[in-house]
Amino acid sequence: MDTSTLTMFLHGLQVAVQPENLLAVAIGAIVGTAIGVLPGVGPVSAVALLVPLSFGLSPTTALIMMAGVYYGAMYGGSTTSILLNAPGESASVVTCIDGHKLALKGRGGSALGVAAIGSFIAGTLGVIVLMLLAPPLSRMAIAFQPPEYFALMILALVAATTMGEGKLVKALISMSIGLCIGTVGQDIQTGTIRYTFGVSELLDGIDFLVAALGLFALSEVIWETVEPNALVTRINVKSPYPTLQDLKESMGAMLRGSGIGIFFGLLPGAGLITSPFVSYSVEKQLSKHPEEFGQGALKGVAGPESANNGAASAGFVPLLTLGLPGSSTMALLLGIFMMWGVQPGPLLISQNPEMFWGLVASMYVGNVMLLILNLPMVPLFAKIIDIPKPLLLPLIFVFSFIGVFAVNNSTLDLWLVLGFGVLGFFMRIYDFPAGPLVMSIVLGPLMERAMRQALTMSNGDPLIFVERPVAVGVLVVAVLFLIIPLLRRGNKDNSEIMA
Amino acid sequence: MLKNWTAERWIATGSLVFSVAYGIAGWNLPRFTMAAVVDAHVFPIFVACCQFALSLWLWVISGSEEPQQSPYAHLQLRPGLFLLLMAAVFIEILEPAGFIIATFLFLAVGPYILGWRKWIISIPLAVVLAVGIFLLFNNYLMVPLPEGIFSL
Repeated sequence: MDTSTLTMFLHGLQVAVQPENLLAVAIGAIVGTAIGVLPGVGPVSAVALLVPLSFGLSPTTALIMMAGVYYGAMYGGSTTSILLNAPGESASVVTCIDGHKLALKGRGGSALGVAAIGSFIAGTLGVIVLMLLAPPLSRMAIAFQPPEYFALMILALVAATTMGEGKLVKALISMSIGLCIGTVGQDIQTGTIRYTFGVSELLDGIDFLVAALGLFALSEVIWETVEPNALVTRINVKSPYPTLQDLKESMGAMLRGSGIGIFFGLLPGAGLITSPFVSYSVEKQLSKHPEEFGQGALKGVAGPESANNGAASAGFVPLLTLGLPGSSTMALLLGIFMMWGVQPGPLLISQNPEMFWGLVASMYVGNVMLLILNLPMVPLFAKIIDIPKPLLLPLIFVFSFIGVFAVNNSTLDLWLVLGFGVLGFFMRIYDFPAGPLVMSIVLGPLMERAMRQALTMSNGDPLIFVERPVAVGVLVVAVLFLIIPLLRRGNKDNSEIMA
Repeated sequence: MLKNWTAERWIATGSLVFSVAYGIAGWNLPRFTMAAVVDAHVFPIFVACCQFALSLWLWVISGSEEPQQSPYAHLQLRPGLFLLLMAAVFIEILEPAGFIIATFLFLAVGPYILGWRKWIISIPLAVVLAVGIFLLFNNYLMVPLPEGIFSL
């Protein structure tokens, strides 16, 4: 790290510790955690729901608050995963496997504490990586032209479709539908009105928030109302603090998980969901007692939770420097950045240094705050989960509607969010992932713009995408992302047949 | 033959029809060749072709000779449908009646639909939340929510 980076970071720290920003990150972290512990509400829904909280603030303070919400919701999600076996998002699914088993054994305190400390370590290391790698990555990214951006968008979308479970073709169809939705509205370049069916409110297109809240939050609520087996059992958390032996046992897993998470977090579209699975698998392979995994192994919580948060922090590198979101939540944050008139990308650091370094420094502050908050507040947060679902679910509906209505003051958006909620419900029934759809709604228009700019550069010759080495390299990686899971599945099927 | 079609095959068929309709609508978009090298119809047609190919892929792999079981068999759909109906009513009355009335009704009746019978808790809670959220957003977060009859 050169001295100028350190100087700028210290300047960012000055911005972060300004009273209003400190308050913003604290409120964001607390409210994000409070929303994150609600069953079925993951970071993506929490960020989407709490966007209105940042209205009326300066862009820097608003973005700092949203980063706090994001981290808070990540922490909150691990609490529900461990106590209730209810992951708020797919990245927390791995935490459930051993975390809930530990809780049932009366070691919920150890699991929660290790998760909190592991997340803190990973988050801090991730921020350091962001500090070291963001400027060089951004300098490198300035050399990126529209063909390279188009290839990167392809890579992000392909990565998003290959990270989940289920049939790849379904994820690709989901992505393709998102791209179709992204074309609704008035074309900026020519003014052509596309797919609005005469509805003037659709001229600006369909907001990503509408799709995200419908597909994630509302579909989850609808699912909860028709699936009546989600009865909540109260768990007696004796102590939210892990023993020294617990920490000693899980420290290696935390560090390995952090490394894995940070590495995957740097890859656009691949990090948040894949890294906990990889970390869990690595810990199981390295363990002297692999049979304990699945029965309540502390390392099975420490590794994936660290990976989860490491990826979340490192995911800000491609988001801030390349404008590429690594997950659905990052896609939401990208949309929020743009809503505030900030264009994440290579020029962000030079054009908005105060905002960039303020955000980086706030992550440090946010991590410390969340550790302080999470350890003693665990029993209190667990109480929120005790709210009976018949009272809680309608409330989530109302908050989703407010989040959408606040953007355009349009009741059409409310009908759309309801429609997306029903669509999300059916997608869940038929195993179509919603993440690629939301990501492609955000990335689709950017991808179209890059494609048209690139083709304009080449006077309509599509060979421009395969003539430039960086673009070709990125496209090759995208093809590999697409082919490797298919090959793995093919091998798995073969081995199952052989068995 | 159609009786043995899987749900996936039906979805793939619907997706094929959608991709064709979307592509045709894209093809029929007005052209402004003088204004842009790449016109507004190019990307939609590209996406339509991708969608068509993917749908065809799903159609081909989703065949089955086995009779299909309903994925809804174990679900209790009635509360969900009623909640959706309540949400529709909420949207319709939001602007004419206002946020406070719409939210109160939704938060008072919604829990009842989902099996909650303790009115003594749900009614005061609905009043406090409807008024509290309205004041929070309108007065402190500067997000105007519909006032409805209270604007008179």
